[in-house]
Amino acid sequence: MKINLIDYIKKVGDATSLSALEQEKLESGLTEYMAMKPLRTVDSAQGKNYMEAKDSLFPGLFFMHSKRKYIPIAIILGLLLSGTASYAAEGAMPGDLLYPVKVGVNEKVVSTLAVSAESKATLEAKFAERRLVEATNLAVDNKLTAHIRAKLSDDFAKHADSAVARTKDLEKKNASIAIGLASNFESNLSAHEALLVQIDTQGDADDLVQLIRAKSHTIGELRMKAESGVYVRAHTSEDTSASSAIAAKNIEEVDTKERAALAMGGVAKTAVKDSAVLLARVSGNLEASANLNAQAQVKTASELLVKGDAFFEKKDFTSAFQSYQNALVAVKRLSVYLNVSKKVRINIFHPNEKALDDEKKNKSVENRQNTEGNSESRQVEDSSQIDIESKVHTGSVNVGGEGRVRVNVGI
Amino acid sequence: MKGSTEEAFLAVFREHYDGLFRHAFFRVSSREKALDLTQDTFIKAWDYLRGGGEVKQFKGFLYRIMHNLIIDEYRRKKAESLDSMSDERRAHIDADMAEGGVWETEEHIDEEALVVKVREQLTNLSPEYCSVVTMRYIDGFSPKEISQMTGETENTVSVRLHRAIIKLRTMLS
Repeated sequence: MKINLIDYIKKVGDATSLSALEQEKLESGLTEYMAMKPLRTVDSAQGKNYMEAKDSLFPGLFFMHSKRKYIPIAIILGLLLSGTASYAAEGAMPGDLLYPVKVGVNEKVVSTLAVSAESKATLEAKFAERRLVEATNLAVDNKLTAHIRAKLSDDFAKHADSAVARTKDLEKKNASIAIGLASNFESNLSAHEALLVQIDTQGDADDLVQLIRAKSHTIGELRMKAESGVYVRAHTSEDTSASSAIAAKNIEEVDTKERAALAMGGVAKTAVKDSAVLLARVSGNLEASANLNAQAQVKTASELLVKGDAFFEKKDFTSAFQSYQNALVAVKRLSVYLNVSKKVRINIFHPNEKALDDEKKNKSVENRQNTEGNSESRQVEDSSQIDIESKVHTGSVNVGGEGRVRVNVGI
Repeated sequence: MKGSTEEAFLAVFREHYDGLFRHAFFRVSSREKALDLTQDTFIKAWDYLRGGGEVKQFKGFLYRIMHNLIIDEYRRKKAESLDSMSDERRAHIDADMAEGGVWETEEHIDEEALVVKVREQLTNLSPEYCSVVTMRYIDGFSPKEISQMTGETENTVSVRLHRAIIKLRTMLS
């Protein structure tokens, strides 16, 4: 029976459609996003443009920038009605009046935009990270009270647990993506843990640090379990044709380690590129020495990528993976540090438990020595010092509900 | 209360969301991911308008955004995709043989089963082939419009379409 294939391709297209429920959900998510980010308006009477963003001229933001704690309820309602509260709230910290809007409204709106299991898991991980950014910023200002710390710890744990649970579910459908999510989250937690350890010189946030470490271990275990189940069948055939300079491969079976290294390499390269872009964006706010050090960090990460590529070529996939992962965590740390809005003096280490433990031990030794009136510079392996003074408040973490995650596959 | 621009944008959404979803679905072979990509496309379009951008022709604009998002998705999943070289090779050989989109199939196979079979194999095409077939026969774009969206020459698009149909026919046979 002869059939016109093109007719059937068109029929296949016609038969594929969104359900009414899916369409409704998409439209409602988009509508909420449009309300959260309205178009710019022009005040024709005054001939000015009002930016409906954090540097807006709206009085609510003026009150915030003038550091007054009290914002009249009428202003808040006005902001809510006009849809601009969301922008004002994004920079809010625990204790600020608009913080409930940030958490209860903005994050909820963004949650509606997450449709797939992958994007939901990613979003929960991002929300968990936002709590850590808030804790870090408050710690820098010595405003991380026991009460706020407890609240942030609870919220962080809730989102981290949700991220773990969603990633676990996702693993059943797509192990590679789940491994990627887990690896990314683990790297972020490691970076935040290291940062908080350095900032919290009094040890007040030890419980939060321990919590971050515990969640990091949980997600690490999930990642390793998922990795052990990843397997793609392939075979390699050689083109024995005399005229062929390069053998054509039909890849049906890939060793787990090779696959893991390949995916981690891709992710690390994207992260290094993003870090360079972030640095270029904030470099104007950094002191010259801080800028140079940050650039050196990106360069180190790039060199680790080159090393990883060399190992990969030699088929030493374990070393390749490790190099790529070191590059990834190094730039993750840099990105976390660049996003902290206040002046901090920090060390950036190559990521491993021993280094973190050494750091804690050194800190307690340093504290004892300082108490005794001695000062001693710490010798830390593979470290670089960065002074970062951000002149612009950039404490918010982009939570765009993009639902996009980079694939990390670990060994 | 929504302004006229917001209403107009939502009207554009209602006109194109289904087509965009269909396009994404055939190119990424995942309903959930296709939903994500559809939403991301409209969000990016809205952000573009917010940034003061002007859009003369929404359909092409939206599909260009979607196409770029799908390319990003392919890059992200590069480790999982099959090497397309051998597909290209086979298509090149096939191009010398039979022509057109006529497909020889079993007798008495019903309509629904045929559609299912075609849908399955469509998603098994290489990304390049799936992309042009989807844009041409499901989205209804001309080869010229496809070349404008993808940056390929019109000739490349036409050749790729021809090879894709032959490849699909081979897979179905």
